[in-house]
Amino acid sequence: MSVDRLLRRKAPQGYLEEWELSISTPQEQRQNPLHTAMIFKLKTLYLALPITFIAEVSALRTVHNTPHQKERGLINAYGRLRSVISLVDLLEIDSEEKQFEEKFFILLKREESIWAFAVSEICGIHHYRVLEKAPIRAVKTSYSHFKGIVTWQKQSVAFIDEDLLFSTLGSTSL
Amino acid sequence: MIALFYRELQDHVESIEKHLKGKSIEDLQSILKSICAIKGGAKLVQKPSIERVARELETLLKQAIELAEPLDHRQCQVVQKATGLFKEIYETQGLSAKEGELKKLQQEIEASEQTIVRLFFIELERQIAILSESLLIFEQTPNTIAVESLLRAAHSIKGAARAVGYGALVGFVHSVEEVFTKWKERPLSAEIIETLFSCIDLLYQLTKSDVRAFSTALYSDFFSDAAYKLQHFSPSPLSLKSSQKRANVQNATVRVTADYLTQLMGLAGELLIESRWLEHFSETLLKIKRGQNDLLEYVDHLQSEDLESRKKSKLQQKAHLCSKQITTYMNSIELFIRRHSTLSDRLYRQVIESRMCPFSDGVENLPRLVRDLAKQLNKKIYFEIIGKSTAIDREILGQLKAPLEHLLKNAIDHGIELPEERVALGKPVEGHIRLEARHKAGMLHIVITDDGRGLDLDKIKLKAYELRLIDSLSLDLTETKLVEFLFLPGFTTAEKISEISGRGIGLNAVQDMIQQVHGQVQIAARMGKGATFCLQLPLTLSVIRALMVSISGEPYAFALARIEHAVVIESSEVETVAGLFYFYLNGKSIALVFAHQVLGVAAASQTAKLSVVVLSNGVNYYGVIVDALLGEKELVAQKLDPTIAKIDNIACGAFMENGDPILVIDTEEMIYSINRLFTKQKSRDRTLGMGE
Repeated sequence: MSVDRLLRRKAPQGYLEEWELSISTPQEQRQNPLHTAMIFKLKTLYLALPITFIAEVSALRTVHNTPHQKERGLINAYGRLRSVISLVDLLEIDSEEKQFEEKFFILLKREESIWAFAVSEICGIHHYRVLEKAPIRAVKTSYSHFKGIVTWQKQSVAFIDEDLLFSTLGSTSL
Repeated sequence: MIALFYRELQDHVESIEKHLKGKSIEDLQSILKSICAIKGGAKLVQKPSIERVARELETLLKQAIELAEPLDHRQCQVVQKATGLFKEIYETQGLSAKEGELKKLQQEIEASEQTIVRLFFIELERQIAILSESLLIFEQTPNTIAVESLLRAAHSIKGAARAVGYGALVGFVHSVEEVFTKWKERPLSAEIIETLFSCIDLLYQLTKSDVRAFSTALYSDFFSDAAYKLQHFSPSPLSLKSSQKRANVQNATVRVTADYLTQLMGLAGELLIESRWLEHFSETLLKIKRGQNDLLEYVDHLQSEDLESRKKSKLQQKAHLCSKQITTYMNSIELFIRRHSTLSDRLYRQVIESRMCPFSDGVENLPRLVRDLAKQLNKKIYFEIIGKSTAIDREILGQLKAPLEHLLKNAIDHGIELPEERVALGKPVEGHIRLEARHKAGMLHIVITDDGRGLDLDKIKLKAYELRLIDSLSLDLTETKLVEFLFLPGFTTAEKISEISGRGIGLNAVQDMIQQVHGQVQIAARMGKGATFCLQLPLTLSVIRALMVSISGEPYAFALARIEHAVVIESSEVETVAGLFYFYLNGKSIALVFAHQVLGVAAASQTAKLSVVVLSNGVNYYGVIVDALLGEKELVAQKLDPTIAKIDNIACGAFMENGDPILVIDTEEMIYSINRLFTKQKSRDRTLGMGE
């Protein structure tokens, strides 16, 4: 009760306006917080994924085929056996060259599940606020699972919809 | 501000005192409200000591509200003490004088909290285990060391019980202490020991239940009863035997999840692989050194006419310098590589060993089991465990519990005779059962021996004949062969099924479990003299001795313990019968199938010679054709991630020396898949009109 009284007492002159000014964030910033994504290159396509789902990046390792499951493979990443998926197949990226330089493996992690996929290049980490909507034609794939486009170093980078990706992965692992 | 606070404090204290008299939930809730207000106010005016007391009171009240019970006498007292202190504070408007008292009060309230009770339970559990063990030893052989250990445990329990205010327990433990302090003058009767055991059991159950159970009157009565019995029993001495010495070493332990250890092992394994690369690298450096030496030779052999002598000597100097430098650097890197290899090797071995724990950890419950069972069957048993400190893989130990229990039950039920029988046979009245664990020739040996009836080989033969497993009784079968029958499901020579054993499933289940951990069971028996069961197990499950093969161009492995043979045959040796392929080995016809067919992977190119791995499920033999046999290796098993959905026919994964993944085949599953394949083929052939 006394605390109540204490807190409801009248504020000194100009006090409220002063504080409001100093702690308010610009409208645009508040509506668009900063996000971080990792940009990588797969065949000829530049793609991005939120950094929260990227667990590790590993050098190229030998892939062991999985019996009974042609779509998956197995690699050794830092001493643990990990499942390998083909993002190329999953995103239905078609390209003329069947073989391409796979240099790295990116390990995705969501909750307890970890998947690895091969990429040609790791471009780096990019901060952004908004995703631009881009016409699907701009991205050379029939896969519609892109959330939007980010511009990075004059390149259009397609942002993968991680929810859709994980639900596809989850269903194929059954 | 402070004045404001004190005024408020007075209001709240009055409210609390009013509601303390009531016994309803609403009263409790309004007390809680007042306390929260006091806490908030104290925080605002920065009086931490009052805030802390208020916080403790808050927890106390919250618990009471949750249990939907009014505050008991002690708790009421505590609250009143607090309000009393608060009154003094605002009356004198002076806090500093009361700081000490406030602190004492806070601690007192803490003591009545539930968390303390939980700690008490944990300590109680620990001491009960020690108490139980010591009592068992005392029962067998009354001696001072056991008694001392008993008294220590009892004393700890008494102190802990007093701290949390469980009077009945304190009283009971005190009588236990008294009884044991005077054990020599007043020997304990078997009844009293039985009572003590039931008390221990009850205590153990209580530690697993919730707090309230402990303070109900029911248990107080039980313990008061037991205390009375202890004070008034009639002494009757137990038979005395030679005393036993007990080593009581306890190491500090740390709890770590199994997954954490797996990760550690993975990293250690990778480190080992990387260090091997370093060794290869040092060899390439040798090449550089040799190149250098050659260069040096050319320089030395330069004719003096080709170059000015000054330039030549300069060249020579430089070349010599380079050569010396390379030698120095190579030496230091070689030293580094050696140190590095040793360290990573040691790290790896340590991590693998971390999966081990002492044998005693897994057999703690067995002495009690034997004792209770012996009592139930009216037999006298002397049970000893040897090799308690032998290191065993945690997982193996977990799998061993059930088989060991079964084998002991068998020994007590069927093996050891009744005391009268034993005396008549000239044996000591007490049956002797010994459980031993030791490392031998790189394997773990667990032996259960008894000096009971042994095995009646004739009975086994008869039963086998009855079940039509052998054709005639006149067959001369060795003990080893006869003993194998015991492992068949449903085989038993017991006339009647008792609650304990005799159903005929036990030994079969035991053998299954042991084989699952890549082990073997052997039985040896002397009729009338006793039986010995020997379990041979690998030292650790995490390392599998495997045969590496190539299937479809990729590496796979079979656990050596699970395969019968591995041979290379000519394609000419293969015969066809009714669409299925066979070959002969040691007079047995073995069905052939391609490994890549079973696994659903691409076929590799055909070769004239076939590499075949022969599997067996004890009844049939199967030959699996692989691309090539690659050799024997010890592999560290890697459980497949849950993300990697269960792969058919594959038991686990592992890594080769170069870090590449290799899959270990599950032989049982593979046999099952092969059978399915054959059935499919047969039915397909039938529909196509290709009959037998």
